[in-house]
Amino acid sequence: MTNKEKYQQAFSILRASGKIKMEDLKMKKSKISKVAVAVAALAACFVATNSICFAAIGDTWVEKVIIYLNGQTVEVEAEMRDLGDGNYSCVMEVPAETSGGISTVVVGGYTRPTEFTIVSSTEEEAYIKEENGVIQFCYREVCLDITADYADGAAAGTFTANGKEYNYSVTGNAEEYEISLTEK
Amino acid sequence: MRQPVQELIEWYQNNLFAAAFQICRNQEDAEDVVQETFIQYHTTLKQYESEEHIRAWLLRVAINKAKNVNHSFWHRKKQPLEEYIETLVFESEESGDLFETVLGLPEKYRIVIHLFYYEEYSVQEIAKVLKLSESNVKVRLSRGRQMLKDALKEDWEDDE
Repeated sequence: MTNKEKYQQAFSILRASGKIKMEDLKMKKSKISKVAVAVAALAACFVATNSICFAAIGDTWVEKVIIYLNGQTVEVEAEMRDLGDGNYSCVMEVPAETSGGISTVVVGGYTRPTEFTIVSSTEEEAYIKEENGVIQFCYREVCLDITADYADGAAAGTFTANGKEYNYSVTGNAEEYEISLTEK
Repeated sequence: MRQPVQELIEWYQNNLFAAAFQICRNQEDAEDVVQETFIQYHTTLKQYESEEHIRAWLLRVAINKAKNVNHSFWHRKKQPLEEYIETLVFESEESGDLFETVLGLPEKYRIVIHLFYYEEYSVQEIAKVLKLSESNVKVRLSRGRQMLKDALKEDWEDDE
């Protein structure tokens, strides 16, 4: 027998107990995704906003804009930049299931068409972790013990992660948790 | 690419357990390490280049977690190693001697020996998993082998 064979024979006796099963992890993920969107060609739609008076060409500022996203009106904060040629760029975070793109942006009461370009994309998931009788709702670095709340079959609340506030709710059961997570 | 965690548990839980056990020398801690490793895989949105890449990542994470368990201030020893060994049924007396001798080696030699002979990793691959230089791995492998040779004598051949 070679050394390798002897070693493998000796250590093949080590076996995990078999308690490690996916069901024991009892995690349910709920995906929310964000993309940064660059929107160009917003010519002359900011005359009504005060911000433009104080921003030099190339400067950025944050503006609340209204976008029509998958058939719904959504207000988001966007980082605006004066491109110096009468146009402006507008970068914002939106849910990743933005399959149809963003066709228009409303700023200062003016509606303008846009070109939708994904600048960057990240995916972050919220999930439920259940272990030793403790149920936790987890997102990014935050894990909330919802054992007591969930005793009635539903848990909900708010929390802060990375400087942003979120509303969450958890319903369903251990076989199929239903998670909702939205930014406040 | 990614693989479903259920499949990875089936394929690799024993490998991870064996590697973790080399560090922890304790069944309960090794089990916990394996569970935590799969949880980390499941919750981390990392993409991998290949199945080999996944396997190497799992081993590296399990080894690091096992080291953290050992170094934890709150770590309490559970079942003593000697008691655990008594529960094992080896194919031969030589197997039992080899098992005990390896677990008696210093940790830094044990894990290199294990990755070489059990996981059949090359020196280069071991260096990547443990984030060591290849020369460092070679030295540890050589010293570990020598210690095994000194303890087991004719039951451990000279490797080329």
